[in-house]
Amino acid sequence: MYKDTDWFSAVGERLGIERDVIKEVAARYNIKASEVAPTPKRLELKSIKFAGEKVGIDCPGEFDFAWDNLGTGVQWLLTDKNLKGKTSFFELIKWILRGASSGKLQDDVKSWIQNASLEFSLGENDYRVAFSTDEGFRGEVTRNSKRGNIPVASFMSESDFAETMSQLMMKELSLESVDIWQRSNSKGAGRIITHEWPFLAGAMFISTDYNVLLGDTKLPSGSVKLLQMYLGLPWVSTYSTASSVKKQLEEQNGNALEERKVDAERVQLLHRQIEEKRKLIASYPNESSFLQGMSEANSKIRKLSDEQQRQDTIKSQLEAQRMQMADAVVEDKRELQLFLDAQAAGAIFRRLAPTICPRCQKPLSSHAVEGELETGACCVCNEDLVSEEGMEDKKVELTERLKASQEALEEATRQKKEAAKNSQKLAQQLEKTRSEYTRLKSQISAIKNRYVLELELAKLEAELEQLNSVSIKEPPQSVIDCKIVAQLEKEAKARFYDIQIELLEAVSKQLVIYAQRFGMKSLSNASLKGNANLQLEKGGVSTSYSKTSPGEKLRLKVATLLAMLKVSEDRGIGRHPGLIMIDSPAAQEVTPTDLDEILTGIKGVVEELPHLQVFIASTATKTVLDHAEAERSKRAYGENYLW
Amino acid sequence: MNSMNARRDALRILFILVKCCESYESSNFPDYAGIFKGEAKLHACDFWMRYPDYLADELMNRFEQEESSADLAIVRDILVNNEPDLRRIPMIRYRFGAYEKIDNSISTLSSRGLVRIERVVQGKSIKETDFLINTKAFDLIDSVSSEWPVLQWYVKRVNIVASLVEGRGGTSLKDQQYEQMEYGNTILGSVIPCIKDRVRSRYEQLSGEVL
Repeated sequence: MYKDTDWFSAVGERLGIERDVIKEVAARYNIKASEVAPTPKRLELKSIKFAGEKVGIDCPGEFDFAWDNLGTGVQWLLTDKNLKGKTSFFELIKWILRGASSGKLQDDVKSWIQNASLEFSLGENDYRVAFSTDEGFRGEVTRNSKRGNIPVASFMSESDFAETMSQLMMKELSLESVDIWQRSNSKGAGRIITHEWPFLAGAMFISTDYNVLLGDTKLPSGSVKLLQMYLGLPWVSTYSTASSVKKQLEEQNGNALEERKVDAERVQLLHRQIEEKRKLIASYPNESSFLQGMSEANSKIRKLSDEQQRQDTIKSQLEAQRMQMADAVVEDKRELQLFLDAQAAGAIFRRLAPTICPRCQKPLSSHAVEGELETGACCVCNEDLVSEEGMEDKKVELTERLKASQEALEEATRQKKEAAKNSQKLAQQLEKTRSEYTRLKSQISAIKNRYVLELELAKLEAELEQLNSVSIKEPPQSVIDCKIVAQLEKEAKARFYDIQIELLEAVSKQLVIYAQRFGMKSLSNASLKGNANLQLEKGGVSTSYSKTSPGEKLRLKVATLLAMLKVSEDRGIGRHPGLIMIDSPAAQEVTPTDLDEILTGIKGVVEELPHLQVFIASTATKTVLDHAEAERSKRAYGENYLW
Repeated sequence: MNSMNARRDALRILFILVKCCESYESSNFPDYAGIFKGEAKLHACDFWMRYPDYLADELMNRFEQEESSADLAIVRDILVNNEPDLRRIPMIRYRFGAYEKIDNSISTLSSRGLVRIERVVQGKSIKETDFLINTKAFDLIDSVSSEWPVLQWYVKRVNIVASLVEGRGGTSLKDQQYEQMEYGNTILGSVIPCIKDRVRSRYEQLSGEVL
């Protein structure tokens, strides 16, 4: 049994989260705590009227139908032949009760109706719903009170009509709308669909389609909702809402998880790519070192060029010097040579004393010649006679001078050679530096490439940072919400579950009784599950509802519905209106015997549950006629239409 | 030192006179064995003695005519030994060519009885000055050639000059040299310049050898 503590507190305790937080989350998703199971309200049709004009068939014409002495118990709608308007009649009533027509009401038939009205009591109130189609679809709902008819609502379109009836019925019957989670499919993303009155109203109708055990519309987990709704289980709509919200959140979170997984993969990939790009960039020349290298090379070139210029100047200076030295050497050589020549000549002529006067060519006097020894001057020209000694001194001097010049020349030559070597070395250095500069310059394009790569790297790093910042965040609110909602759902379920089990057991037992009464003698056991699956034990063999024959299905459907009504009636719970409309129970391979048993069974139940109002539409076979009371019948004889 | 140079010049003149003269025999001057006709020729010979580059140039002229490889060899020696610088004794260019007074040299020679001046007079002007060479001069040149090794250059050189001037008159030689000087762009009144570069180039062209 569930703990009888406050629902929010129970959830909060379980999760270790504050009660107020739980309450806020529930409110945010519109998950309301369940109300106390209300007492059932009865729906009883009082009268039905409709009129119009049939067109486009073999017997067109106006019609005007009324049936107004309706009461509790079984009412019979009979035609002698088939296809004489029984189904359409039921469809019309459904149309009014639901506020919306189903596909079973054919368009042409629908168009014949010009006006219709339905009077019914709902709980303590009497209502009248009427509409007309002559000036567009419009109508009104009025309530009959001591002071007369009070307008409750009016409607100007079919959708308006549906809205009106839904609101009215849901409120009066204290029904909560059923939220069902529709999964994402090809038509769109997952969403919650709220099923309201038109769906719930299906619990009142048994037509000729027996696919579904409960109701007349097949919806995923729809039967479950109907079951829970009409058994009057509390917490059912809470549970269903919580369940739907949970599924929605799970799908969202699933997507988020998917996204995070993709992100994680992307992060890994980014790390790898960044690593590779960094390596690649590192292989490129660094911009600052490149610039520095170029600037260094540049200044080195300048320095070397200056140096080279200096060296060239020195070289030419040295060359000039060397040439001077060379000239000096030549000069000194020449002087020495001339001196030597002169020395020889001097000696030669000194030995020969002049004897003839050069002017007149007469012999010179001897004492003039002798006088030379005294004066030391030549008797012809009177110039001093230079001694051999003096000549020798001079010779030495000139020789020395020549030697000095030659040495100086050697030195100058050596210096020039040295300068030339230096110059060459400089030129080589300059060449090397220049080519280094050129090499660096050629790397400009590489630098450009590096820039491009660095941009790409920055982009990758930015993306990585963004992804990392995202994943650092706490788990999104929806994950926490999902946890809370899941627990809310669990707690809600726990609250109705035990009751449900007990009720289902009771219903299962009861439906076996009814089914047997309806002629299913071989049915020994039934087990109605919470998911509206009906497990059966028939003739000792286990089977299920879906595996039974149409005739059996009919009996089981009726039996189950009546069993639910009885059980909830006995306990004073349940919200079934008490109106049941059964269309053509003999349609699907139901033998007269079966039919007889069903009809007998129904009448028996109706006696047990006197508030029930059952409409049975059928062809007027003998079996049926045996059961139908004339004052509670509307019959079309022979070929006639019901209306 | 002037006297030294004068003696040197005188000796050089003597070499020229002795080696470039024609033979002479006269009963009037029995001691004289040679005759050198004309100052002009003497000046011309002296010029080539004093400017080895111009001499080389003339030798190449002869080579172009006679194609004697010996001439080219001499030119080579001149250039290789840098004679144009070492052996040059500058002269000044006058209107009619290189000229220098040779009076002192002749005086030195004539006062020693080596050379006798004979002036050929026609009317009032001197038509030609001839020089008679004493046998003493021939002997002297021979003895000093062997006694003074330093004078070997003069011996060899004057023989080359002698071969160039043989049979040629002074005037034609003067004209020839005048042309050489013109070609060398020598300004009147200035020292006759060295043309060794031009001579080297010409030699290299003729010989195919690069010095």
